[in-house]
Amino acid sequence: MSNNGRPLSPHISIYRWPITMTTSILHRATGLAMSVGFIVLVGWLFDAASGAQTYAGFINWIDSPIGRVLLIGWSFAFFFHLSNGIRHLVWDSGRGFEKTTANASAWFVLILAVLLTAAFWVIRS
Amino acid sequence: MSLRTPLGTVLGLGSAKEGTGHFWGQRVSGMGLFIVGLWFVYSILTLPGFSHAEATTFIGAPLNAVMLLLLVVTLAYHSSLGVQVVIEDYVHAHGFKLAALILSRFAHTFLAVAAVYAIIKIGLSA
Repeated sequence: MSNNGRPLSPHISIYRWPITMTTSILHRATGLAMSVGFIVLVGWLFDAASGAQTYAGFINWIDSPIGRVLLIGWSFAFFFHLSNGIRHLVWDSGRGFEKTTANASAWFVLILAVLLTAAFWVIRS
Repeated sequence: MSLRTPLGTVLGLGSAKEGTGHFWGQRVSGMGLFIVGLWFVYSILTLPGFSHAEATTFIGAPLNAVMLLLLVVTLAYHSSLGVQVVIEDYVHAHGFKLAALILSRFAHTFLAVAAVYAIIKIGLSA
């Protein structure tokens, strides 16, 4: 591609990653993660309906180290998607688009989600 | 000055004649999940334990069963809309996209029906 010495528009190499991008990507990622988690929720209900023995197998799996890590992940996904979902609803009303406001609300929902996740597991344990 | 016709303004459908349905469905089901989701978190936190007896007692209690039914149906709908957008954004080959969209719908429908059956079965046998 010839350039003829004309200036190039800013590209990925000099792009400062904005926090709003993190929350945007996380909103989609946590949503997808919970779509997978939905399978496990249905599995819990279905195995409970199938009888004590099948249910014991489910609990055995979800109570494993891998299962626990997944549960912590899904709890964070829930609290983040919920908090950021409300942020999206505020945006839908046409408010909160100013750069400083959007950056502040991004940090707010991120920190809130971490705190809610921590509080959930502290109370549950 | 608006260039839209009075009829177009009243119908509010835009040039594609659709699309707001998906938008509204996603938002309103999200609002519903805010309520039912917080109830579910509260229930999980207050559940005495996760043995089979404790779980079926919880799931089978009438109000819990109704809330769980609302949760799984709304969740399946909200998730279906969300996954649909992700597929439309990232799967570009027409055949694969169509197959993925249909598969996602089938999977979500299956999960919703399986969950509804399980909840009602537990509720009626409690």
